[in-house]
Amino acid sequence: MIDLQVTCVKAGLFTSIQDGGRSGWQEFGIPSSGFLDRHSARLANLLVGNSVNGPVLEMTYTGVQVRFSAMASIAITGAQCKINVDGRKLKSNRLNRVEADSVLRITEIQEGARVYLAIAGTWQVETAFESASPLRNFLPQNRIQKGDHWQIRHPNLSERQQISELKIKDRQTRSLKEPLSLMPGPEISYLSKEQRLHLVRCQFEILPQSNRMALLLSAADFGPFVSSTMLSSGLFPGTIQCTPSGQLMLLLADSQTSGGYPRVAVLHDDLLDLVAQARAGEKLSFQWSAGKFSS
Amino acid sequence: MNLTIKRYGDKAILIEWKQEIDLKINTTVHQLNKSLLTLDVDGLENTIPAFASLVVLFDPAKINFRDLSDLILKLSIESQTHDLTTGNNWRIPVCYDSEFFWEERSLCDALELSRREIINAHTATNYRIFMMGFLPGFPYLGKLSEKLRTKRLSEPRKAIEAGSVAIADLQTGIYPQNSPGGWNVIGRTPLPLIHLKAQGNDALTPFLFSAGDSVSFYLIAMDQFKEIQQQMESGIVGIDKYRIND
Repeated sequence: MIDLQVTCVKAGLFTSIQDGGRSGWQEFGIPSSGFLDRHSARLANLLVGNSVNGPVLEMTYTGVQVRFSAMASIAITGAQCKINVDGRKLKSNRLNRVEADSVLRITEIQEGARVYLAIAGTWQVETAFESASPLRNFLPQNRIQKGDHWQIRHPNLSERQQISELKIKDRQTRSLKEPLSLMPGPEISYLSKEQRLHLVRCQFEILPQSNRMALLLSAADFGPFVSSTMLSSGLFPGTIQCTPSGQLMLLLADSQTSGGYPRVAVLHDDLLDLVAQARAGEKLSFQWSAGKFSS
Repeated sequence: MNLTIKRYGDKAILIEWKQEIDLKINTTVHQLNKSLLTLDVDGLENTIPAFASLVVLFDPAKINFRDLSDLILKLSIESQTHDLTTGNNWRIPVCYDSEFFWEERSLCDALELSRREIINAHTATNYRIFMMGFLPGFPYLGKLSEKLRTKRLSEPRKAIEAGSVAIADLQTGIYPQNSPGGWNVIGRTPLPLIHLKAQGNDALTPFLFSAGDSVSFYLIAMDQFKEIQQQMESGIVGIDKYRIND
């Protein structure tokens, strides 16, 4: 059996190895990290027969070019994009087979921000705290640069249960154009009545400084926020903090585990996959959740 | 001690005490955290203890808010009887030489204290690690003597070196890794706060400290700093030497 070597020919704007992330280290200040669009990443792994929380490549805004040293089974999910292997066009959301020495090119990512590439087999990549997701000062090398390469063991098709195609529903039935459901956060009372109304009336623009730690959101009518000091307290992805200048920070997978900005609202956990596909410049709006979320 | 239990989104619980930086309150936080973790509750995913709060993340498919909050309430009553120790005791050597005391001039001016007085005040207190955060392995230690109360830097420094000991407001901390930072650097410890498995570490975590530990600092000279640094790098002396549990 031949192992597979994957080599990055072109890295794209921000490409990293991501998996299901880290659990149990938050009390030491280690973020959970992992796939931003968990749904799409797990789908890709499912298609190639890998463990759903195993490593994939996560691309942001621009795609990668990678070379496969041997035959590989791959699946690409997430935002819409063009996929080309040595002149042959491939489709997203299905199992594809590529030949030895072929080069995969992912281009024109649109209708979303992030694309996932799963490759069948066991990825021989470094981990820290039981995860291959990059972690500053501990695992910086899993952010992918041109020339990086790694081995994948047992890449052949027959050993695994692969699914040729999946019907994609769920996320596609929702759109970022619809208001996202929020639950009140622990410090909701820090907002004035007017700000609470504005939170669900304004269109918030996603600022370009947004990254894997947080989407920064701004609305002309919302700011500035009269800050009250609070003691640092625990945070997790989906929490919306309000900064003194009146920006909102919608926390994503790489967020700090604690902070001192008021936690004014919390996004429903299953909407995180949707907002992970939001691009800078796009607008988000919110609505209060209809469910009962009082304590 | 009075606590409130709040829903925090659809998969977390926030437990809050009186919002103060206070040793007794923080002891209660860590005791409840430890007794909760000891139970090994199915569906409990993570906890984040802080100064006067505890965030408990759970899997709603396995346990619901009501059952988990009932359990927490019950535990909080039972765990009040436990003793007051919440972790290890550490004595940490710090070199306060000018090379490492980056904000010496500004602090001496702002606090109207001599360099010696600042060192004396900083080494006189036995601190508690109230919580860890900001960076992996960064301990928030308190409370600092009122004499040393300072503001954060108006412009954070772009690069603070690992081991740097710093103060801000009524807190002191140690940078575990090179990092940007806004606290006032006053010295440096030669002890590594992070030991990876690859470096022959067989402890349960790669971090020297856990939230709840107690830490005091003592003054060392530059030649001692270099000696300890070498001992640590070569592994001749174990880091356990600096733990003073009896």
